[in-house]
Amino acid sequence: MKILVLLKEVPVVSEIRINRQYFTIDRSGVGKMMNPADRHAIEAALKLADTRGGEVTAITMGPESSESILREAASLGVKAAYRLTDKAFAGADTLATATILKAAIDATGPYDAVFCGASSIDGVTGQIPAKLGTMLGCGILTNACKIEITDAGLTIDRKAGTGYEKLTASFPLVCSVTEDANTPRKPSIKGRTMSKRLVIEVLDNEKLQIPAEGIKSPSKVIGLFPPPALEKGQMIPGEDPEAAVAELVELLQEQAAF
Amino acid sequence: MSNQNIWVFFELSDGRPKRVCLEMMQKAKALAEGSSGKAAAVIIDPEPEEACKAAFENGADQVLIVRQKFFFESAAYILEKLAGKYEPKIVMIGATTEGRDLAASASARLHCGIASECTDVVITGSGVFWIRPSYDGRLNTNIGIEEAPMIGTFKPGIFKLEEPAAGRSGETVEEAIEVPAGILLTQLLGFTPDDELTKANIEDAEIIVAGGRGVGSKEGFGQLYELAAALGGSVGASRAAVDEGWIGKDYQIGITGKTVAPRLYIGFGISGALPHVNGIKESDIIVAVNTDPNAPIFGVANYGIVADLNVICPALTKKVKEMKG
Ligand SMILES: Cc1cc2nc3c(=O)[nH]c(=O)nc-3n(C[C@H](O)[C@H](O)[C@H](O)COP(=O)(O)OP(=O)(O)OC[C@H]3O[C@@H](n4cnc5c(N)ncnc54)[C@H](O)[C@@H]3O)c2cc1C
Ligand SMILES: Cc1cc2nc3c(=O)[nH]c(=O)nc-3n(C[C@H](O)[C@H](O)[C@H](O)COP(=O)(O)OP(=O)(O)OC[C@H]3O[C@@H](n4cnc5c(N)ncnc54)[C@H](O)[C@@H]3O)c2cc1C
Repeated sequence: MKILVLLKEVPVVSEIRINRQYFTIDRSGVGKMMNPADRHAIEAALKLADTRGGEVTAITMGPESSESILREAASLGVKAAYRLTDKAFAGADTLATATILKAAIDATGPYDAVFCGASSIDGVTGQIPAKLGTMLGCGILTNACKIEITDAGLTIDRKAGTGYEKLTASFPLVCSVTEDANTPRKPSIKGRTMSKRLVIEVLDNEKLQIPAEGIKSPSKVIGLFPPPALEKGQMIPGEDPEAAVAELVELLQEQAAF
Repeated sequence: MSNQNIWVFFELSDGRPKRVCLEMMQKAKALAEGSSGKAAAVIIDPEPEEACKAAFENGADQVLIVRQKFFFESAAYILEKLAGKYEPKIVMIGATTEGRDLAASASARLHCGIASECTDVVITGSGVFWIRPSYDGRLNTNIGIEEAPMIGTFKPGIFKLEEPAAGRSGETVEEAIEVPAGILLTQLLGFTPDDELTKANIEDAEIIVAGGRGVGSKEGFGQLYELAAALGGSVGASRAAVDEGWIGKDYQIGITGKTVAPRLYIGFGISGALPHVNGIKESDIIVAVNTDPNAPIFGVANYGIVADLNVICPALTKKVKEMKG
């Protein structure tokens, strides 16, 4: 079986400083890491390979620094890795990103299963899995919190409002994984050696040959601004709790709040 | 040339439209009025009648109906065909479990831009601007999309739901669209209700009693459950309380949790950090109880009490019980 996992390098969002005067963000010195859900995608991919036999490949689109998450994946058992990068890929929105990932899958695949994180912590769109699945024309299982390997494919559970939905699809498929789905394994000693030896192939658009029209981003980040201040309300004196509660209840009743 | 029309995708459960669809419908009406377009609802369901009525009463000028069972794969295909024929400017989709899949799949099919999980949208002559909270809610991002069609998704509770206009009506258009078998590659096997998830389904709650780090312990949450029970509401929490392990992650309110819009939100021992406040802003009434007079939550609360929650919460429960007899 040929299995793929998609990995994204993200900034440690809480370390990003915000300039309160100009509302710009300062990413200098901000740490980078593997998107948390992607760790669980790797685990799901490795578990499928363990069960059905086969190899796991990892792909990331990102700058050179993102090779470290590919090496991290190799230390866990991922055997091959590609990094996608090109000037033309900069600023890609979700449509362009999915288009580029699809091209890389066509160039290096086909794969029986593609695993990804349910959502990234920086863009937080959760768009890539179902977009990519639609472009590939394969089954789409998103937000898995439990994954079962069946004869023909996968069956997942996912949280939906007041309960769990069960979905299934046959291979080939795309499956996006939440942090509830599994407990990622730790790197082995052998894995650490493999990680150092991993040869990362870099694919640019010379190799992928995506027409310019295909990687145009229809959505653009125009700017950042502070959330508007909300209206400040009324304070109820709290020294006498009984009186405070009585006043609050009266105010709430006036507005039929309960 | 596409027109100025704004579509809202209606997702139904048991024949009734989800609340988020009505919220978006009202927003679509306001947007359409401002840009000389029409507001339309798209309903894919074998029994669209009740939803159709609700769509009109919440602002639809037109309802497009496809009598078929809804699933995101077929719905994305149908949306592609409908959008190809009618060329709407904007398609609004609720950021529900299926809505997210639908939005992603439809935007791939339409090869169009998407702004996901927005808190607002503004239409100008030069484009449409979508507001998304980002960087843990510390900043809003302005996403611009020029080319139609485009998709925007919204979580439940982003827009305040006003009274519908009873009896309001409009034009219905039925379309028959055959979905080729090759489109359906994923299968929904079933739905299993879950008690824990039902309790944690705070997105639909009318009253929420929320606790933060100030509650102090898992046992401390006991008094919040009692108050919630007396009020007929649900319990929610800040991330700090979740991280402490006092309550499950499914109860977390905020930017990395759930967005809620109850009639009444009462926050106990919650400081009011932006990531949390982002998830409660559209509540009708916000009440905050905190020992720190400078807690930022008082800057957003309609009513604030500077006091110990361990005194106020039980006193409030007692009072509510007395009143409800
Ligand atoms: C603040 C902000 C707001 C944005 N808003 C929008 C918007 O509204 N609409 C829009 O179209 N774009 C938007 N973008 C751009 C978008 O984040 C990028 O296109 C990004 O490359 C993919 O989206 P995501 O991170 O949200 O992916 P998600 O769909 O959340 O990611 C899910 C999974 O897909 C895989 N994946 C994602 N990116 C990569 C990658 N580069 N390489 C390999 N695997 C990957 C990973 O497994 C990941 O866990 C925004 C970006 C920022 C920073
Ligand atoms: C990436 C990221 C995402 C995040 N997402 C979320 C999110 O989705 N939701 C969320 O809630 N947070 C989120 N946060 C965390 C957020 O920034 C705050 O840390 C968190 O909301 C604080 O929770 P709190 O108000 O319960 O705790 P604290 O900030 O510690 O506040 C506790 C409050 O309790 C008061 N208090 C103490 N004792 C009493 C008493 N006896 N009676 C009354 N008041 C008392 C204190 O005065 C204080 O104001 C996120 C943070 C990051 C970095």
